[in-house]
Amino acid sequence: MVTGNKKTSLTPAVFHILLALSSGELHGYGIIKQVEADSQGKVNMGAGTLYGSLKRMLDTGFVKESNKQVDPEMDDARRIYYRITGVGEKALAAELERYKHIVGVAKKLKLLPKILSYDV
Amino acid sequence: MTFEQKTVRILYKKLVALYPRAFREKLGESMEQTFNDLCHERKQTAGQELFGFVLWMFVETAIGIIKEHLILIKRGKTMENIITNFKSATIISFLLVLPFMILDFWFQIVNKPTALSDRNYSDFIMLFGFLWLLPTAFIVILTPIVRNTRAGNGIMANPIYLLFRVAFLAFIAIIWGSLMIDQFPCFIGVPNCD
Repeated sequence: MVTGNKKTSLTPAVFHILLALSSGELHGYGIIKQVEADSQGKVNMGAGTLYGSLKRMLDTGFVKESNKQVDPEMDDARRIYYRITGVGEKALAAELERYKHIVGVAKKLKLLPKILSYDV
Repeated sequence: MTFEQKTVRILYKKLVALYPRAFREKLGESMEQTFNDLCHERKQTAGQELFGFVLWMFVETAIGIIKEHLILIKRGKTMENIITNFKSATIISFLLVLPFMILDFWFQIVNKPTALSDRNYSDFIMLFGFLWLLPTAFIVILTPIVRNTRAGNGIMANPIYLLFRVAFLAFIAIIWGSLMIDQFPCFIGVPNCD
């Protein structure tokens, strides 16, 4: 199951993968590194989680496989790149909107530490 | 602890081979490649302990394998449930019709022993086949409603769907009841019934 519940919320892994792919096409290792960078090193995704999520995301149409390409920074092996689809972008946008609303609620309740109280 | 990367790669490949076939064929190679990339990166990063990382990767992948198999089993179970429900429905219906079949045979013999050889068996098969199939359909249609109610799901969540099912159940019940009323004299041995 890609989503956390029947409406819109995504699982954390799917959310991070979509976020990573929104910056461009990436292969498996690239996604892991991008997720690590986006989360400031707080999310370390393993191959099991990544490919399990990718499988379901491919099935639901959130991501698509690109053609095999050679990553010049890696060895010469050809890799499968993944890219976000329109459906995936919509799901990510909906999830970000949900987060924005939650942060708004938390802000109203003055639950956010001052350092995090940015405009939502 | 120093790990021979080649051995680790071979072991990981063997682990990936435990994924369900469809998953392995689609993503297995990419998984191995990603694992190799991560190992390569760890090896190049000074001071990184490879053992802990490899152990974590193996455990994480093993959890993924279990998850994928569970998903398959869950999907398989759905099919299995449908088959089991149908099987149960046919057995229950058969048990419901069986006493009337026995009665019909019994009174045929009592009334006219020679009638068995003269009997039109296609009518007999048609009648009891119908009396058997109708309750089977009834149970198959009724089961999802009962299961949803028992699971605590609102019975009125999809009223149109419910209405269709109830209407169909009523239709089956009326036909079955009418057939039984019509044929009951024959089951209890009333002479010259048809």
